[in-house]
Amino acid sequence: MSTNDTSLTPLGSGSGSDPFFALFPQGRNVTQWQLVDDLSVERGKHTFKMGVNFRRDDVSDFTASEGSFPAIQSSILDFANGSADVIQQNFAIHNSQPLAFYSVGFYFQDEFRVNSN
Amino acid sequence: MDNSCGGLGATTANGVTTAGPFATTPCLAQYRVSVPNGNREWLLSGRVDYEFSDKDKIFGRVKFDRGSQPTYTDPIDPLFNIQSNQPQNEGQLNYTHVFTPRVVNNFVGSVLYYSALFQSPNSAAPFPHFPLF
Repeated sequence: MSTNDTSLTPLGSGSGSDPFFALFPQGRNVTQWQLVDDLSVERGKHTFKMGVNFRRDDVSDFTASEGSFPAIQSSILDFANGSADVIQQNFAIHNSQPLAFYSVGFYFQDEFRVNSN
Repeated sequence: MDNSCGGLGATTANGVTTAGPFATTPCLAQYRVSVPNGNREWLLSGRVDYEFSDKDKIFGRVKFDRGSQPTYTDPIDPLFNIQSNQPQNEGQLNYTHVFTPRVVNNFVGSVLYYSALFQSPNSAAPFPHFPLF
């Protein structure tokens, strides 16, 4: 391997920042609440069961804040010569974005007992 | 830059010497290091049951999670580490009501909050170490 091999593009090769470091901050804050109700009723040979399940998530997503730290990439040759090839940085208007979603489910079932056996 | 590496290697127009067949000093070196890091976290959970009567039973439970979890450990300087700080909080209330021995209702209400932010422990500290800033 020679040092003038410009096909190599080591990420964050010393002269700049670590691109991995530039991927952060990232993540989310999540508030989730859930309501579940189940009712069981026996009538003769029937056992009825029914219920509802509701869940809501309120998320503050920080994807937009990724890349707020500049990432510098350089080939080995350019690194040796003290120059950088690419500098990438994101400038988010808001670091977090609100996101909300919910799910709801209902069920009903009937168990029928044919005989005591 | 010292170009004495790579014996009989070619020197490019940019003054960078490539490794030659009789090299005694390599032009490139590799760096291996093992650095410590650790997870610091504690959990606390509790549950309380209470019977109002034979027909009404209730219990509640809570869970608290605090601490920090290492996401990335930098081999050069801990300033560039990435970690995830808790908290995570959970609460649940469960209420069972017996209308008759053949009619029973069960209600569950629960709340969960967690923070999963992956970031530098001190986001301002690494900046002075880069020539851009």
